[in-house]
Amino acid sequence: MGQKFQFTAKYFDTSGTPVDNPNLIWTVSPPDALTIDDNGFATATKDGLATIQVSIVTALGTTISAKTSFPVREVVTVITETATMTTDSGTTTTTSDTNTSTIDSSTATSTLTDTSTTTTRVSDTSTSTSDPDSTTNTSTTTEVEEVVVTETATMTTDSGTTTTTTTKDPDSTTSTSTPTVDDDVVVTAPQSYQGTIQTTSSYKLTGSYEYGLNDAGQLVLDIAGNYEASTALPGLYVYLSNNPNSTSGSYEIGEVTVFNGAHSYTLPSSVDISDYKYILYWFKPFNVKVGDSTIF
Amino acid sequence: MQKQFLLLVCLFFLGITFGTAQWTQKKGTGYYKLGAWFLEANQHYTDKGLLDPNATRGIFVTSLYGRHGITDKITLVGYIPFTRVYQNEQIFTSGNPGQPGEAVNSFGDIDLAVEVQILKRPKWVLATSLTLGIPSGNNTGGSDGSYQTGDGEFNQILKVLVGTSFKIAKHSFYAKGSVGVNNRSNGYSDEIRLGFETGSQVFKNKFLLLVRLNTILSFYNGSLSAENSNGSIFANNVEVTNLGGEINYFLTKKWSASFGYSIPLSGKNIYKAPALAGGIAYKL
Repeated sequence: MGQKFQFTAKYFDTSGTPVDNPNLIWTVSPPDALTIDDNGFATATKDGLATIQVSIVTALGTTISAKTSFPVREVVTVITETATMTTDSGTTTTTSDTNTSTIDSSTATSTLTDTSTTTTRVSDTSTSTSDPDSTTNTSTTTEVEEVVVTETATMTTDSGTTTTTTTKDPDSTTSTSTPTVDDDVVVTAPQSYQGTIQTTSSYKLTGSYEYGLNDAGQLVLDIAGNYEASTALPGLYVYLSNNPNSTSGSYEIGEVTVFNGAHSYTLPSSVDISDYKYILYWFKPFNVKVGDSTIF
Repeated sequence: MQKQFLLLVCLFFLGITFGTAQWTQKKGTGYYKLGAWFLEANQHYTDKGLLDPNATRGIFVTSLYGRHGITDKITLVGYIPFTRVYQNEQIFTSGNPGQPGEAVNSFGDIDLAVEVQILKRPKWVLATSLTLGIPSGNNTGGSDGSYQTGDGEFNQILKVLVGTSFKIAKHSFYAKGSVGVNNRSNGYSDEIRLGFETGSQVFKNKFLLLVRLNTILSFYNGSLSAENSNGSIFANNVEVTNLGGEINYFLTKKWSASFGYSIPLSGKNIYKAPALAGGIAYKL
């Protein structure tokens, strides 16, 4: 049995609220380093450095992902070692040690739980002999004593680095395993996008922009100073849309009143940065697109 | 843009009406016409002179036109249009939002003109005219102000007209040319207007066939644009070259019927669509 890890990931929206039951996709590199199921439960199958990547396809069809790398050992998680000691009194002691590691990367911090189980089996054999011809009786009695020791260590680090240390009887067995998590498995949407508005018509329309949250936490479409639009189009409107060729289901920002230079549109709190994929410039009287830009 | 287009088409179809009239009327004579023209356009020339699509819009104009000689050298001209601007309901199967249908009906801009004969020789005549474009139309029609039947500004068009007659292979022809300047108000750019027309009567003078070429060039000196009009009007700086033809059939010596067709060859800020016209005229 190889080293086992339980990975979890949370998908946070831009307001910092985790999204319930995100449809996570787990992948492993190299593929033969680990096996991982849909729930993020991984089992090491080969020694070496492994990378776990978790991805999510957003409602808008965009794939965002995060990954973490760490060394794995094929046989670490369960360690069973037996030591037999004979005491001076003739008592034999057998010690079994079981080590199970679990990594929980469900939040921005990582939690490592190290459970060590030490089983001490004590076999006490005493022999007595009873001689029927005399007064000696002989009998064999086996006494078995089990001692179970469970040690749990939980360590949380801001950097996501976790260390598991298992220490056993220094006279017999000592083992140390140190899995390292390089990055937290936390997936969040970007806070701003930059792009360029381009004409899709014969009318002049060009300029770069930044779309994101300002210092006050408001979502703003900032049009840069290199923006230029034809002044031959009264009735030109700007939209946010999820269809590059349609205003269906779009959000109408408003009529274009600035045709040259920097300006900005502040969006209401009901609009999230990930709600719309495209900026559209639409000539409303003629119901045709004049220009657009892909936000993400 | 649309409003400008209306004005242009008015001009051209006034020309059609003029086609069967005398160069200038003699005193007490006249020419009167009940006419109509319409077009539907799903594309237009942009400000760069290229073609872009648009929601199909239609314009239907019914008009009264008359010219009457108050002296042998002075003719009064009037043009009264009644205009319908419409757009049919748009429905898309692709999920694109359509637009409800809409129409505006109103009087358009009325033109009043006076023509003065300057010189008359056996083979040619020279005249001038002053046309006043009265802003009697609706320049804010429709839900978004784009269904306009007038531009809301006062046009003053001063023209010089030259006409001549000639023969080719014993067949009589006439030709007319004009150069005019349209002084426009309310921030519109002024314009140069050029016109040429030639025609001949055929089939025992029962038909008059003519072709016409008109051009409008902008001075680009107007301040009006989308930037300062709040979207209530369409673009300024319209240019176009239009080619048309017309057939007139003389029902009697006084009554005639006409059918015309014209199409823009190039342009800026104007619809790209053929226009059809027809009318009944009476010659006094």
